[in-house]
Amino acid sequence: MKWLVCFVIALLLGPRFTGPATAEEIVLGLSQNFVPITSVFDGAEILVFGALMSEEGEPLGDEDDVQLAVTVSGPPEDIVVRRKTQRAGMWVNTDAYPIANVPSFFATAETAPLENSSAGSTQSTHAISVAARIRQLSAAEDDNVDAYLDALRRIGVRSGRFNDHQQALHVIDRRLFEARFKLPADVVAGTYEVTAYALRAGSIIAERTSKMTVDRVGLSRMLRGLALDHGLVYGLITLAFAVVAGWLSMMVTYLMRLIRI
Amino acid sequence: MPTKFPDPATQLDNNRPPPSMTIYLPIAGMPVDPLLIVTLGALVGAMSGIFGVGGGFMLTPLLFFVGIPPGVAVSTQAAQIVASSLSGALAYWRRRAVDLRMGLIMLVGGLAGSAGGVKLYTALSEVGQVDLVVQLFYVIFLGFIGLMMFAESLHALTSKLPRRRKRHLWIHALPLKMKFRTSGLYISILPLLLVGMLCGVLAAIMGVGGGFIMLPAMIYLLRIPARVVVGTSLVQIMVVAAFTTVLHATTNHTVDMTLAMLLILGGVIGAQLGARIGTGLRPEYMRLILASLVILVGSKVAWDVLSQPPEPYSIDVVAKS
Repeated sequence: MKWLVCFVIALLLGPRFTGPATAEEIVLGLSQNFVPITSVFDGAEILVFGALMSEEGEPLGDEDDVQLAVTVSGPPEDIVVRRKTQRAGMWVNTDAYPIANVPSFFATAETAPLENSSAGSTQSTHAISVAARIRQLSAAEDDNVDAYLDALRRIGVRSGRFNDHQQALHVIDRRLFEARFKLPADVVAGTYEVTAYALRAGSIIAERTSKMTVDRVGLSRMLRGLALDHGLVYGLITLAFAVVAGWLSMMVTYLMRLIRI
Repeated sequence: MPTKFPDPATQLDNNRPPPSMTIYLPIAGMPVDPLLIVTLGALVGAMSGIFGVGGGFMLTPLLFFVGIPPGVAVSTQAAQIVASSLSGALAYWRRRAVDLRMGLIMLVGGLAGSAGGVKLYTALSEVGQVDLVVQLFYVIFLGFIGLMMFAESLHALTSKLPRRRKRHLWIHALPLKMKFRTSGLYISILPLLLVGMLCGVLAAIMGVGGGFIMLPAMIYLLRIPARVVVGTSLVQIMVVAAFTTVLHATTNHTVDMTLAMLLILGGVIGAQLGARIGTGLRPEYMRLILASLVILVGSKVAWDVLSQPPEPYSIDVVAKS
């Protein structure tokens, strides 16, 4: 919390930002830039905070026409969406549609629901909602593709991959904004991008991105590294453990019989 | 006048201990309740203690149900099978109730089957048909064996007449015969290789030991004396499972050591408990119960395949971009 206080003081008393003409800009911070996946990892919560600064370097107050939004985007993956249909009585994966660069996690928070604003044009270049982000994934204009994309959205929302209006974006004291994001337990390791947007009348007037890393640490990291890079050794170690455990179990049975008799 | 500002960091969930104990599985990429996994392992271990044959066929669907990715469940279970069959295999070995020669022949088939099975599994994963094939394997094998076992144990319980042993002449007509002194048999190695290979494939694809196929095949089809059947099959199952574990670890990297440890811990405990319970029941009743369980699981899988899924779409992650 101390850094937040210092930060606010710096904003209010510090040097004025004098940039180019329309230099409204966002300053952005994260509660942590590194999320460790430990042996007892069960998800994590991060706090995103910042302020929208006007040209003169003053934090912009509670202006009616300014909306703020924050998106958290995880490392991209190549996926395949599969569809089952009934063949010979059985439900079989018959069709598939590959999609590249699907975010492994995408969550948003806004001061006001952006669908209500006329943000159509901005949403085509900057995705500030799950629906917009998914629309960006495929250029094809096809009902069939729409079905797959809709399935991706549906399944993603259910699994926690996609999360819209997850938490409201709070504006504190008419100057600072904050939002909390929950990362699910089966989070993908990699670089996450946290982007804050300020919009006025549907156009983006400022944006700022901060990066966050999620990675395994300690035992989890070591085991995964071993499994992927030295599969044979890892397999043999697992086997050794199994053999030892089996042998120990035998010893226990033997000892117990000895005690009983 | 220092005022305590509310510190957002302490209000975040990160630094609080999680409400329920979980352990993160590094390969599966998800946390699990360790008690749940140990209990599942114990359940299966108890089954092997009671019935003599491993309950792997029940463990795999249960692991899927808990949310473990199928590839990880199947690969990791092979390690658990090694642990659970080791003590039994050694016990029979000491009593000289293992036909080593026969076991080795079946093992050759088993290793080949396992290698082929792992390859098949990888190939099926790429076209997204793994689930279906595993389900079909389950339905066919569990259904067939379950029904056969059910009929046989019913017959054994209800029939007062001594069972007539038919001579399967066609088995004796196959070529490539070898002498197996321990069993006192002179039979072709082809059915042995085939049975071994089948179990290897099942181990690689379904994550089961294969005992539920091997025991009936050895007793009814090959007419191997009951004395050496369990011991020989246990040795074969153990070595094939060990091979499958290492093969899956090197090719697919889907063996999760943490999950294996939890399952093995449960299995060891369960086997101890199961051995205590198992001595009281008549073998025919036990076979009947086991057969019922096998049919139940097989039916459930068949139902899943034939009924309309609530969500016909699914997502497979292929790679990191």
